[in-house]
Amino acid sequence: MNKKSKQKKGKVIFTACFLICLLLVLWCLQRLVEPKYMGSVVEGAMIPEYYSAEKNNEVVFIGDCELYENISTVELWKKYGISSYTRGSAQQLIWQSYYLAEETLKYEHPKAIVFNVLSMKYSKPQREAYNRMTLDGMRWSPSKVKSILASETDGEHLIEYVFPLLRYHSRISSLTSDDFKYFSHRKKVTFNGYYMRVDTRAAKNVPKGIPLTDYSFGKSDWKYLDKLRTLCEKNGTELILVKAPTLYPAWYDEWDEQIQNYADKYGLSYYNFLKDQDEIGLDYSTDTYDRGLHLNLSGAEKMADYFGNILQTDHGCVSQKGDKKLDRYWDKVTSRYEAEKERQYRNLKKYGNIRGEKK
Amino acid sequence: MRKTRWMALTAAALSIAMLFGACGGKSSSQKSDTTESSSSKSESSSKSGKLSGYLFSVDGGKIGVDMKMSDAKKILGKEDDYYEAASCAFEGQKDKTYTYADYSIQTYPSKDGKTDYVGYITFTDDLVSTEEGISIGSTVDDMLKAYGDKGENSDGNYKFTKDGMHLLINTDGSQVTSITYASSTLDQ
Amino acid sequence: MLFTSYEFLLFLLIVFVIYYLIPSKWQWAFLLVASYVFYAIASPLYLIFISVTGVTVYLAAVLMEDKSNKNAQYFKSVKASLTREERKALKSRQKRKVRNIFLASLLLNLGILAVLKYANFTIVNINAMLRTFGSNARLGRVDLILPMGISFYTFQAVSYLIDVYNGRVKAQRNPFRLMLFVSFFPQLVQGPISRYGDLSQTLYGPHKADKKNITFGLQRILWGFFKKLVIADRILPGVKAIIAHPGKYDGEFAFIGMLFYALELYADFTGGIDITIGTAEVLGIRVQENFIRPYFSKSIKEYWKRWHISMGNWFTDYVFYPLSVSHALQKLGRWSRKHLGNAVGKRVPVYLASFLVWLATGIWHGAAWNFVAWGLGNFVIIMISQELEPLYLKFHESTHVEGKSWWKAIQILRTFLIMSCLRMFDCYRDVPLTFKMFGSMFTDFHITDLNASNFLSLGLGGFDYLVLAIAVILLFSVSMIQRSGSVREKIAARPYPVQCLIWAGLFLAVILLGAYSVGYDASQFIYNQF
Repeated sequence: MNKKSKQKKGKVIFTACFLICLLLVLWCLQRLVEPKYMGSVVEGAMIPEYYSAEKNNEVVFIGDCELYENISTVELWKKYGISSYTRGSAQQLIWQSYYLAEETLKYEHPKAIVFNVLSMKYSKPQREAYNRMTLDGMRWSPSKVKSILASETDGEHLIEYVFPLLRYHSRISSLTSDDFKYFSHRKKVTFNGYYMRVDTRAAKNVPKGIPLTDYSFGKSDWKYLDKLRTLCEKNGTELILVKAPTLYPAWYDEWDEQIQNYADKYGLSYYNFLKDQDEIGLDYSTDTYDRGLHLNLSGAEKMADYFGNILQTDHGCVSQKGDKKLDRYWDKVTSRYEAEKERQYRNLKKYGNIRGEKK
Repeated sequence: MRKTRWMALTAAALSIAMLFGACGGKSSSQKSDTTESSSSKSESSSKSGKLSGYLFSVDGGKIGVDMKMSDAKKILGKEDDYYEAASCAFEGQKDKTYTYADYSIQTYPSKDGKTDYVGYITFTDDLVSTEEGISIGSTVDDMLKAYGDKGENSDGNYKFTKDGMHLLINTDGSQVTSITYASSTLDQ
Repeated sequence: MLFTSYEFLLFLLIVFVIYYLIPSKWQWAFLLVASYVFYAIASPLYLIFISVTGVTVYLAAVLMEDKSNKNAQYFKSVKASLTREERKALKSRQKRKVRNIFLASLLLNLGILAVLKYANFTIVNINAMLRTFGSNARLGRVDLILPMGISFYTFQAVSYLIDVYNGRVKAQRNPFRLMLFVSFFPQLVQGPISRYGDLSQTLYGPHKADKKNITFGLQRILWGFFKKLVIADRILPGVKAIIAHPGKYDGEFAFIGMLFYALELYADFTGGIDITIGTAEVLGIRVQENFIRPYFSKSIKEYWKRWHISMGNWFTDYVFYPLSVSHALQKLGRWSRKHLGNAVGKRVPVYLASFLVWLATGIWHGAAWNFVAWGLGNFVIIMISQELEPLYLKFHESTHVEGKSWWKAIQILRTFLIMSCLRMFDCYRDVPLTFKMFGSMFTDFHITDLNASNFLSLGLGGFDYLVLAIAVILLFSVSMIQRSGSVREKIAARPYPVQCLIWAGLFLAVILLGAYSVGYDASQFIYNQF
C-alpha cells in the first residue's frame, strides 16, 4: 500500500472514530440536560416507569392526575389481589391517552382499561411542558410518533422529540446536582403509577364552575373516545369510563350527561365518583392534600377499596394473588410503598412538608 | 418574436393576477421587508394594562378581564373568600378564585408565573349588573336590546365578543341565568 | 421559512442532494423550481409578484436589445445617405424608443414596490396633513400584501434591466434563466443584491460536486448559524427590553442598548449573509461578499464600503452617478457656481445627489419616518466628514498620527460610535424618541446604574453574558485573522484532527448555546424547578 492510500485510510478511520466520539458527546450532553423529574416536579418521570413494571395487569388506568393521585394501585392489590397499573401523566390529553392505550395493548391485555373522562374538556393541544412530561418517557413506536404529531403546540417540532438535546439545551445554564446524580438512572416516583401524598389540606371555599355558553365536547375528543372504544373492543378489553371525585375543576352536569349518553349508547360502564362521595366515605377535610383537587393517600385508598369492589363484582376482575411472579413483584412494590408512607409522615412531622425541605 | 408574444401574454396574465392578489395583506404589521434585524419584527401584543372590551363597574371603579389582579384588588378591596388551585404538575402556576359578595373573579397566571390576570368575572347573584344594565334575572329581550343579536347563540346561551374578550350570558329562554366576563386567553 | 428553522435545514439537505444527483445541465432549472418552492412556502401569492417582475424585466431586456440591434443595423444601412443633423435626429429617435421600453419596465417594477410598500405610509401622512390643516377628510388605509424580499429582488431585477439598457450585459434570452437570477432562493430574504454580470458567471452551472466548495460552504453556513443563534438571538431579549421601556432604560442604558443593538444587528445580518453565501458555495455558485469587517472602518466613507456593500454599490452606480452626470444637475452646478461662487457652487450638485441618494436609501429600508431620518442622518455625517477632510489632512500632517495603531483604534471607535448612534433610529422606530434617548445618554448618564442587578433585569442571565462575552471575543479574533486571508483556508491548512476539533467545537457551540427552540420561551420557567 503506498503512502497516499495509507494516509487516506488513516483519515477515514480517524473520521469514523471522531464521528463516533462526537455522537457520544452529544448523547452525554443530551442525558445531562434532559429534565430528570426527580425533584419537586416528578410527573415527568411517571410514563417510563411502566416499561420496567410487571405487565400481567388485570386493570390499566389511563389518564391524568385524577387517576394517578386518586386510586391506590397498591391498595387494589392488597385488598383484592387486582394487579393494576396507572399510565398517568400531568394533564394527559385524550389523544395521548389513546396512543398510550394503543401502546399498552402491545405489551399486555388487561381485562379492563379505565379512562378518566375529564380530558374530554380539552379539544386542542395545551402546553408544551405537559406534552413533554407525557411523551418524552414513551418508548419510540408509531404510537409515540402519532401522539407527538397530535399534541404539538406552536413552536414544537417532531425533531426535538427525536433529539431532546435540541429542546433542552437551554438547561445547560441551570443544571443542578440532580442532573448529575440521575444522569444514568432514575428512582421510581410512583407505585405502579400511583403517586402518593400523605399530607392533608382540607377543601374550603371551592368555587362553583363558571357557567359556559357551550358545553359540547370537541370533535377530536369524540373521535379519540371512539378510537379508544374500538381499540378496546378489538383487543377484547373492556373500556370503563370514570370521573374522579375531585371538587375542582368543575365537572358540569351537561358534560356528565353527554358521557352517560355515550356510555349508554355503546353499553359501556361509566362511574361518576362525584356522586358516590358518601358511599366511598370521602371526607374532604382529611382525604385531600390540596383543598379538593386531588385525594391524598387516605382518599386514594378509600377510592381503591370502593372501586376494587366494583371491578371484582361487576367487571369480573379476579384476584391474582397466588401467582408467584406477581406476588414477589407486589411484595417489592408494597414494601417500597410502606417505606415511602413512613418517610412522608416522618418528614411531615419534622419539617411540615413531605419532601423534607428545611424552611 | 413568437416567444416574445407568449412572454407578453404571460406578463399580462400575471399582472392581472397580481392586481387581485395584492389585496388582503397584513399591511399594518409589515412596515419593512428589508428588516435588517429580527429585533424590529412586530411583537405580539403584551398586556398593556389598558382596559378594553366589556367592563364591570363596581365600587367606584371599572375592572375588566386581562387586567392585573393586583390592580383589580385596589378597586375591590379584600375578598370574602379565596381559593387556590394548583395545576396538574407543579407549584407556581395556579388558578386563583377570589369570591366577593355578589361576584367572583378567577385569575390566570402569566407565562412566567409571576403575575396574575383577571380571567373570569362571574356574577353570583342579581345584586350587580353589567355596565349596560343587565343582571341575573333580566329578560332576554332587554339583554338583546343591550347587546344586539350579533353574538354567538347556542341553545339560549350567548357569547358577545368585544376587543378580543367575551361576555357570556346564559338564559333559560326568557331570563338571564348567568353572566360571566371571560378572557379569550382561556379559550379552549 | 426562517434560515434558522428546521424546515430550512431540511429544505437545504433535499436541495443539495438532488442538485448533485440530477444531470448537471438541469441544475439551474432545478434551482429555479427550488426557489419557487421556497418562496411559495412563505405564501403562494408571492409567486405572482416575483413572476411579474421576472417576466416584465425579461421582456423589456429582450425587446430593448432586439430594438437596439435593429436600430444599429438600420442606421448602418442609411448612414451614408444622411446628413449629420439627420443622423443625429435618427439616433435620438431610436434611442427614445429603446428608452421608452426601459422606462416602462422600470416604472412598472418600481411602481409595484412603491405601491405595496409605501401606500399606507403615504396615506397616513396625507391624513396627518389633512388633520393639521383642520380638515375632517381622511383616506382609508389599504390592506396590501407585502411579498417577502420584494425590495431585494426588485432592485436586483432593476439592476439587470439598467445594465442591459446601458449595454453592460447582454440580455438573457432564456426567460427561466432570468427568473432564476431574480428569484435565487438564498438571496431572497436578506440579499445581497447581486449584479447579473457577476452572478450569471456561476449561477447556471453546470457544477460537479466539488469537495472544497461543499466543505467550505457548509463551514460558512455553520459560522452563520453561530452568529445568528449564539450571539444575535441570545442578546435580542436585552435589546427588546431596553427598546420597550425607554422611560426605565434611558441614559447609560440607552448607550448600552445602542451597543447591544450594534452587536445584534451585525451578528444577525452577517450571519444571514454567511448562510446565503455558504449555501450558494455548496451549490458551486459564487455570491459577492456583502460585509467586510465593517466595524473596523476608520471613517464613515469606509464603513459604507464595508457594510451592506451590495446596497451601497447599487445606490452609487444606479442613482448617485447617473444623478451626478445628469443634465439637470450639471445645469444646476453651472448656475450655482455662477451665483454662489465656485467654492459653494461646485458642492451643490454633489450634495444634492448625495442627499437624494440617502433619502432613497432611507426610504428603501422601510416605510416610516425613522428610516428617512436614518438615511438623512447618514447624509449629514458624510457631508460633515467631507467638509472636515482638509482639517483632518492638516491634523495628520502636523501630528504624524496617521497609521499609528492607537490613532487607528480611535478612528475605528469614533466611526463605530457614530454609526451606532445613527442606528438608534432603527432601534426605537420613533424619531422624537430617538433624539430624546440620544440626548439622555449625555444628560442622564449615571455610571453607578451600570450594575449587575440592572443588567440582569434585561432578561439576560449571568450565563448569557458569559456566552456573549466569549462569542464576541471569538468573533473579534476571527475578524482579526481574516485581515490576513481566509480563515477557512488557514484552518484547512492545519492538521486534519485539529480541523475536526475546530468545526466540531463550533457545531457543539451552536447546538448547545444557540438561543433557539421553545426552551428560550419565558413560559418554560417550569424547568427551573427541577
